[in-house]
Amino acid sequence: MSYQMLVLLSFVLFAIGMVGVAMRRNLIIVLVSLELMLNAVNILFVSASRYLHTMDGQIFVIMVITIAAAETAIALALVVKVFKMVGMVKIDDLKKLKW
Amino acid sequence: MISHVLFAIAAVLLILTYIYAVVAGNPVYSALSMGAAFFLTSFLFVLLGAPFLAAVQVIIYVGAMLIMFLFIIMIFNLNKEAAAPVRYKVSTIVSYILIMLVLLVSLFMARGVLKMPGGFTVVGFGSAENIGFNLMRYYVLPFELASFVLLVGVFGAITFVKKRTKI
Repeated sequence: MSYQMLVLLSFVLFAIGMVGVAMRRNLIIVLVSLELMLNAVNILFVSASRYLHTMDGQIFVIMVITIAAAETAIALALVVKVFKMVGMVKIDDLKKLKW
Repeated sequence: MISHVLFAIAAVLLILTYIYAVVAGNPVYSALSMGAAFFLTSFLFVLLGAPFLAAVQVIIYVGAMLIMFLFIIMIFNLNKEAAAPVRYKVSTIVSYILIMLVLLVSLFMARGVLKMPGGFTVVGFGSAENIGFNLMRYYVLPFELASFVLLVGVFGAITFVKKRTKI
């Protein structure tokens, strides 16, 4: 369990989550992939905290979890609103604001 | 030695659950796979010497966020998939590859930092007492700002979904 392996694992997980954000069309799955990207960054923070022998990384993880919870609440409220207005939660149907 | 084996198992399972959460056709399966990934992450946190964060991870992510996702999916019956569930746009793929290249170059530039010696944790390193001490001693302002952000999140969510009623 060396630091390189943990950074590599976090990088791979971030890349997989970003594939979901970039290429899926369902709004719920895009949000799930966003949470997974934040989780990959949390793993990197905790491993850096272990190898640097400071608590700062774990405090940052608590802040990230707080912001992620607030962000998920607002994002799901937006999903509900979009579903009530459009009847779909697919990204390609939301073109009204596109220039 | 046993921690290396446990770390390898957790890493492989994490990558598998991540891939399934991204490629699953049904959003319910995607959300459940996300829950499995959060459980495995909490296992990894225990291995890395952060037991309090492991508990927080399970309580907040699995207990609150996953349940919120499942409520929204099942109340509004959103578990239908599009005919073409994946977007293959050239601009999307090119920008994805460029972002990954930037991340790889930054990792390569930080390769001196990556060669740190093996980590160890002292007793009580990631405990609730230690985290609370650091949070109240050095990070009071971010702590208060986080509470304000949560309040704004609650107000925003209620305002978005509220029906307009005439008074």
